[in-house]
Amino acid sequence: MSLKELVKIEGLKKYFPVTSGVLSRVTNFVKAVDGVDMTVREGETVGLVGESGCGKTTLGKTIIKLLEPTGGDIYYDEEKITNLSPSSMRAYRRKMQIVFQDPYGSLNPRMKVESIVSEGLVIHGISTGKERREIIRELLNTVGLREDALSRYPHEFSGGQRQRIAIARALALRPDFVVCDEPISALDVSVQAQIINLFIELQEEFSLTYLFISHDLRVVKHISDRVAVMYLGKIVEFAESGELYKNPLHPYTKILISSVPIADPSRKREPAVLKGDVPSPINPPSGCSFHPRCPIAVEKCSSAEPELRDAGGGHFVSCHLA
Amino acid sequence: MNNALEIKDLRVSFSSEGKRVEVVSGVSISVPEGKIVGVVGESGCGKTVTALSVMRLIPDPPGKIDSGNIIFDGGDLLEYREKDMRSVRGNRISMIFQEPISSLNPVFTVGDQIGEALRTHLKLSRKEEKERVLELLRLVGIPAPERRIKNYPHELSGGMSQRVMIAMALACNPEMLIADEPTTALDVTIQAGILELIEDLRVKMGMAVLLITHDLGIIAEVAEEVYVMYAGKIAEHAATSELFREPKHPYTVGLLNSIPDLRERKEKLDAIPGVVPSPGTYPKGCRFQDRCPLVIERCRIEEPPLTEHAPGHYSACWRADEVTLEI
Repeated sequence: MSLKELVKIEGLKKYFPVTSGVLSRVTNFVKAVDGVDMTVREGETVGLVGESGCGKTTLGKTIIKLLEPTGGDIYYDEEKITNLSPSSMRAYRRKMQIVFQDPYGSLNPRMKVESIVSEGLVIHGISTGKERREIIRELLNTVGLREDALSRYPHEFSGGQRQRIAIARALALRPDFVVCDEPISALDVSVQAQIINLFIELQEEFSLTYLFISHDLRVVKHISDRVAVMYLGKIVEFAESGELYKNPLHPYTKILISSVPIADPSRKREPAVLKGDVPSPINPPSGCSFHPRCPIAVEKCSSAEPELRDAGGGHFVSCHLA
Repeated sequence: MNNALEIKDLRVSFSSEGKRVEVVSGVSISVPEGKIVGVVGESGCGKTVTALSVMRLIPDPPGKIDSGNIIFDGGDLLEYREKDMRSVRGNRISMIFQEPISSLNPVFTVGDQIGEALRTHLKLSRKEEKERVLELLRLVGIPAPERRIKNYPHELSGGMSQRVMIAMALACNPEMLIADEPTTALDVTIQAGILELIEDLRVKMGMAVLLITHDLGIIAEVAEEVYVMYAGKIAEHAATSELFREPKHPYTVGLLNSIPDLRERKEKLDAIPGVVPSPGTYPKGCRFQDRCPLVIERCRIEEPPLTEHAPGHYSACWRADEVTLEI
């Protein structure tokens, strides 16, 4: 892994308008992503964890500009791509791909696997006829599907196989950067492991860089080099995977890690139970947005917002008390 | 110890395109009084159908309970008339489901819905009913119950709705609770709270719990005994600590090894190859044969019965004694 920063985002924001009344006037904003700084180095996997509704999927989609950012900047390979026009963006679309959570919803049921996987090649005018077919055949092989899959429809496949098709589609254009948005959470336990292994093998084979989004801390730990923890639209902690799990600094990270069930009945743990619910991202709490649920909050936390700062050795945390 | 519930040799089938397809093929499960018993398995293994059979909630047609007994309080639930079953369901045996949001009726308030169970089974005055509802909401840890009682389901978060579902299930102090993937739709932080609540209630109310899940981590946390289901059958059954220490079925080993561990990082996960066969396409012999690392000729011809290999430890595998965590 190099230290070159393939993707860099600065102060990235994505707000969705909330409308009300008969005139559908914009009365407020859902601050799904609210000022995120992050880097992804070439060849590494950055894991992104957080509870549902924390904005992790929106962040993943905004990074590759499937969603137009509200503010902040995105750099890809040192080029600023935030305000590129759709036509200039095209060259970058080839390099950035995404695998979605639900393999049942993300594949067009009326298209044969061959058309699904080759769609990107067609759009970008890469190869034709026999040559294209050869590329597709090879791709299917790479993701562990048989060749006869080419002429079949998505409904003929199981969840795990569909996710393999989605992965083949993402890889067709030989991207450098792939956003994996909860790619295994819709799959059975025994199949999840197959797909995780496939992601790891493909990364080595094609020198891919991943942003791996998941709510499953066990999976993220397994696959990631560095892990970012997101809460209410912000990154609250970002560190090397081993370091983060061994030495979590943010109280939210500590609670998240302690609530993961451990498959070992001889180890009785005392999970720290988080009080309350995730607050509304429309009106996030003042100061540190975690303070109403934080077990160690002090007065300062409700007034001043903590900065994401380096607590030593590239371990970033945003907490006044860490 | 007495069993609160005993499922004996249950067989359930569904008709699909004119054919009858068996989805539960001779499953026996006992839940001792006041204990939490876990059932673990992947989608399609028949765990939910087994649970629904206990409640007699299998839609008929297309589903049908072909044979077996479900012994509860000395009687066989499968022989009860619908009228008698109604006084058991929600009263003495309750069930909570995976999707709390879709299990609640969107047009009634939380108070109304919990009150319904009370009105159906107990004769209470309106005032007593309201007090009992508030007491239940407090029991399941819902803050400001006086306000929540007037809320509609859409005003609640996922964790809150699951707590409301549990409050409904507990309304009549059931002797038996069936929880079908109660935390699967919830975040880990909420999951820990719900599991703790179920464990708490078991201790306080002496309730027996049948907990159905696909997550061995959850089993390890709360269940004392566990049944592993695969393709409509019980593959292995043992005390939880024993099952995790010395599994005796290759499928259990596969499940255990395919979970990434928070404590150590493995280079590669030991995935189980292939996919779960769907009902109606089960091979002759052992149903796990095509995915099994220990498969021998015999597995393809003869189906292994569930047999006791150590005291209280049952496995349906011809090579059970050779199974270790490292296969």
